[in-house]
Amino acid sequence: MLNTRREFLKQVARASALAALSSQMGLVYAMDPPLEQDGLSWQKAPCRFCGTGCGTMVGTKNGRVMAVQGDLQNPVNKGLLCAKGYHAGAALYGRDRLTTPLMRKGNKQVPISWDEAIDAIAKQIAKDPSNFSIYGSGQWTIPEGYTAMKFIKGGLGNNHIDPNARLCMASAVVGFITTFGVDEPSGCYDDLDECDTVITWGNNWAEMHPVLFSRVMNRRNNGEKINYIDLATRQTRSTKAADHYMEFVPQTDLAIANCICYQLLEKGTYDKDFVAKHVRFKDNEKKDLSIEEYKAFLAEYNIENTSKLSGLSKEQLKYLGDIFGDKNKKVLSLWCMGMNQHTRGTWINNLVYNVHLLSGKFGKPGSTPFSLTGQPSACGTCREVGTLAHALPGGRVVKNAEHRKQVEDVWQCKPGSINAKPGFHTISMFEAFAKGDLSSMWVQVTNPAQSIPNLHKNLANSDKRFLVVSDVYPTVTTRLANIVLPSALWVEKNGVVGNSERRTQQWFKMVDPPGDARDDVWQMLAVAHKLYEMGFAGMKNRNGKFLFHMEDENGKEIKSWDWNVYKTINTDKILFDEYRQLTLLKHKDIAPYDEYVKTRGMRWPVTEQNGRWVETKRRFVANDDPYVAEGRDIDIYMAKAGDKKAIAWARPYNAPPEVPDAKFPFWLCTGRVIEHWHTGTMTGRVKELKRAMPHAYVELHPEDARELGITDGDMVKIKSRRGSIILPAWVLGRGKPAKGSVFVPFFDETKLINEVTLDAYCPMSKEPDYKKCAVLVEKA
Amino acid sequence: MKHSLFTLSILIVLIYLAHSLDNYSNTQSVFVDEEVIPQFNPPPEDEEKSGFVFSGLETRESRRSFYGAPPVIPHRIGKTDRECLNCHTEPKEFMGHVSPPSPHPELVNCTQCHVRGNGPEIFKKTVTIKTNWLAITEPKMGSRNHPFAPPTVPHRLHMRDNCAACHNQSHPNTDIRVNHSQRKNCMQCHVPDYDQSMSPFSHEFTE
Ligand code: SF4
Repeated sequence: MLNTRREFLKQVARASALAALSSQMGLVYAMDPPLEQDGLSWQKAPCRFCGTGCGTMVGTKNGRVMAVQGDLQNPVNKGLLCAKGYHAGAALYGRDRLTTPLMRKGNKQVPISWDEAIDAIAKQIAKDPSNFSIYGSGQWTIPEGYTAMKFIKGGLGNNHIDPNARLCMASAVVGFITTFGVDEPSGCYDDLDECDTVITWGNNWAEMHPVLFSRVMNRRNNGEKINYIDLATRQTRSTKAADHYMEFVPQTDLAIANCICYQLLEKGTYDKDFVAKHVRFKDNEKKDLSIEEYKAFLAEYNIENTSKLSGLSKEQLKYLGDIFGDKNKKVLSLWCMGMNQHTRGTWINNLVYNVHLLSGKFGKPGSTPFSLTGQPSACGTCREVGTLAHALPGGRVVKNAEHRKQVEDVWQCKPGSINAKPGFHTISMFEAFAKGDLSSMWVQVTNPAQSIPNLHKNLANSDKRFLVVSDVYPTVTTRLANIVLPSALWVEKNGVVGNSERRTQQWFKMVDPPGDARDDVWQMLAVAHKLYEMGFAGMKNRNGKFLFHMEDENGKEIKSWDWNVYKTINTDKILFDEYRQLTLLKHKDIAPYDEYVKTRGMRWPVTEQNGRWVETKRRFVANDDPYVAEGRDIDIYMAKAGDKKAIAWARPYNAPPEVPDAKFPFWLCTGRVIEHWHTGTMTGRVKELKRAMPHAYVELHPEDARELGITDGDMVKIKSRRGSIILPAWVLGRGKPAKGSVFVPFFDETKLINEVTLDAYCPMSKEPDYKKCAVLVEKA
Repeated sequence: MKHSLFTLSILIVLIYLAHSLDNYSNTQSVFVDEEVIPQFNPPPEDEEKSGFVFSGLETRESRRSFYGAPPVIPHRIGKTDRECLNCHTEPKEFMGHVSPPSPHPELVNCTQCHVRGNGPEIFKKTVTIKTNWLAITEPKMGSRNHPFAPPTVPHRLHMRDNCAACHNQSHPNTDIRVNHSQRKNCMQCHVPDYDQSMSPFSHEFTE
């Protein structure tokens, strides 16, 4: 009795304390006052981690994040998160957060002031601006990527900027551009609610896009019939939900897709009307093909041949052909790294589009191909802003003079500032850095010394060059750096990101970064302004002002390069609204910044209709997409030939560059686990996640393990032509690789599997293949 | 006047607490090896005469990163880890422990949110994490309008609207049991007193 009464009185006291607190603090974030409730302020923010882009509600108090919940109002996840999302708040509070700039002196990195750091970087750039490079990330926010782009392409006149998204989505991008003339998917997450058949092409979505997986599986639990086909080279958590598991020989996905097309044409089950209206055929030399010629090309991918090559049974191949041949089936194809990290990544993307185009399963609710994105803003930043060596914002390219001029006009830089020659793409960038062709590099929001393939070769000499690394924790990359800059993380800064389904989401800063850590945008602005002060011509715009000139409502210049000014303003709004002007050309229209404040994101193209900003559910589809011409059901309006048709490419099977042999008899596949995000630098600081998955492991097929005399927990050596590592075995653990293959996750910085991987890449997308190389496996 | 002084002193204490936790060095290594951790974590606390292991709110708290976080799984999950609902649909006894039923058995991808408390068995050692994470803690009880009023529901109902799943008479967590489970219509008397869509919690974190 007494106890509860005390409890009650205490609550009354607390409530008034908090009322006092909130009234004293006033409106910190004028545009979206956080909801003060029972001591915590709750504000929306998209999750920090994967490309699903779930909405979270972040609870803060006394300048700290104290809780994270799923956002019930966000249509992506409807209140559900995965283990990473729930624990995203704790990722901010590892005790070894970087809180002060560091400079290498001798063998040590010693604390320096921001002024010293900015000064040193600016001087280095001024010495050799054309050999300076930026290596960025699909975890850059849109304003971060945009700033970096303008800095290097507008300010320095060089194009040596590439993001880690090159290792992740480049094949998807080139796949889209070659087939549809423009990047990013037609479909959206609503298709997950309407499909009756799901095919994953080498994709473990139960662990990598878990909220999307559950979105479909929960339908099944509600009594709906969902047929799930898992096409893979390894049994995973996803496989356990599959109705059909089809295990293929690595790389033969190319042949399987062709075999489905073969059956559609052979049996005449293809969608004749759709093909006549929306599809044309081309061969690998870009020569037009008639449908008969295309059919002749497919002849060698008959069931007999494909079965022999791929390891799929004839029945399985026929089953796939029948599913796509069935007009009544609503088939959703999903894929991510299995198809993108592929030495023929562009081709396999093209081929899966062929399957859907021929079967007419395109742009229909629940029946469409859908490319999943790995990182939270690989779409928003790398693909839309275009932070790539050859690209400019809004789907433009540096090679095109008109595109360069449009961007120069918006940036107000002097005509001719942007260089027409594409810069180094990721792998060539690191090769050039190792050789000394690039003198300096600035890495932001990524950890290449752990994530680049064939580390030994590609990271050679990195510590001898001028390397600047902006990060939130010490990583294997910061250890190589001359200068380490401490950054703000997630809700310690403002942000805008774009997820897999073209949804752009915004959040406000909620807490201060620790110590002297500062925003990545500010870091670039400060160096740019230092160069401007030094008289560096590129940092002056055509009016003689600072390249990143910003004004307040009264026309007064904002000193954005001064941290004390920067932290009081929202540069995201200014940068985003400037970038917005560049999104219209390819119909990737985004709305003004303030509109995103009010919503849980919107899917582009977002257009103003009767005074309201309206998003687009399905792109290229009538009644959804405002750019579809009158009278058309589907409109591939960015088709290069101007004929509004998608291209079905005749892409052959092509053997991988390295296959197991007598000396290196096993396939090696690498990937993620649900607990950790990428290289584990953030999730590794969260107690619950790190304990659940403390180290990397090697997963073996039980028969292989028996033959090699290996049991659970034994130390195993994995060796390739490039390097070797030793790590514990896990047999029949979470997944089961095909016989003759092993799987190793890459999150563990103490067990760098990328010492072993191959850096061969798709010649079109330049994306390396982390999923296939030959290794020797033995008991250590 | 008195009231605002009281308010101010609470504020000062809170701010002081928050600041003292912020003083840390950034030079420590995170990766510190530790001994093997027990399979059931933390070890059972209250043992009733029956010999079964029961626990209270503290145990409940220790399995969550913060109040509202999905609890970690405090035991082995076998190699296929999909059979959770074999035990977690009603309280079941297994090797002296009682399984708490899931309040949302319709969501079957359990390991999407619930991770192992202590990694796969193949790792003989585990790691500790040095963190300044400060969590909001478990509410002791919902608020009452007057001493005899039924308490309000102190948590969000999203995925937790099946009251009987947790508030039953044989739940292993003795602190959240109810003594009148024969009354099935919980919401008749116990109401959530806050905006369910925005804020997941109704209570203040404890000092
Ligand atoms: S699925 Fe991705 S976006 Fe959603 S909570 Fe998990 S990591 Fe975050």
